[in-house]
Amino acid sequence: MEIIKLSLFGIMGVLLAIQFKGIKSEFNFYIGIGVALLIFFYAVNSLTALISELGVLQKYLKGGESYLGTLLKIVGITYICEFSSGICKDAGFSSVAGQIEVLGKLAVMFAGLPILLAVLEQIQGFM
Amino acid sequence: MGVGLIFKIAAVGLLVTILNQVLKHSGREEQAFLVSLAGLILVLTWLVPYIYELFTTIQALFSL
Repeated sequence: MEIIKLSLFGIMGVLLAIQFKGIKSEFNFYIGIGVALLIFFYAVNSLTALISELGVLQKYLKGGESYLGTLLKIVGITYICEFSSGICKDAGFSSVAGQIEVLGKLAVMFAGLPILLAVLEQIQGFM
Repeated sequence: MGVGLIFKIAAVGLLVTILNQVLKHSGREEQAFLVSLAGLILVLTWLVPYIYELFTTIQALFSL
């Protein structure tokens, strides 16, 4: 199964990184980044399959085709912010990670604004 | 690409550590610092292209 291979690889990378904790701790951090990148690139092909499946879902949405695009955009923004803030936390800079997360929340809100306006217009229509 | 990247980084780490110990005990602290700097730059030249590729993949995938 993919998941078992991935998690074993992650654990192996972490165990290798711990060797450098005492002597040279910055390499501990580099190996962490390397393992995170490799796990992402390993998962990216299953991600593309998932997204093409989502495209099939699009034809059931009569009115809101663009909403699925916005949903994907939000997932992308969240993933990038999660990845970079996680790396900053590993390095011990939790304040920088907090800033990145706040930026991510703002970007998600900005991306979701048109949907919110559409919902409000719908409600306005009922009134 | 693949697991080789991790082992390359680990190898550079070990090499830098050993060189630092040797240089430190022979009294050359500056060279020891330069060696670790060189190790840092070398690992960065490996990692930065992958990080860039990650971000461009996400941009293309999620049509950001």
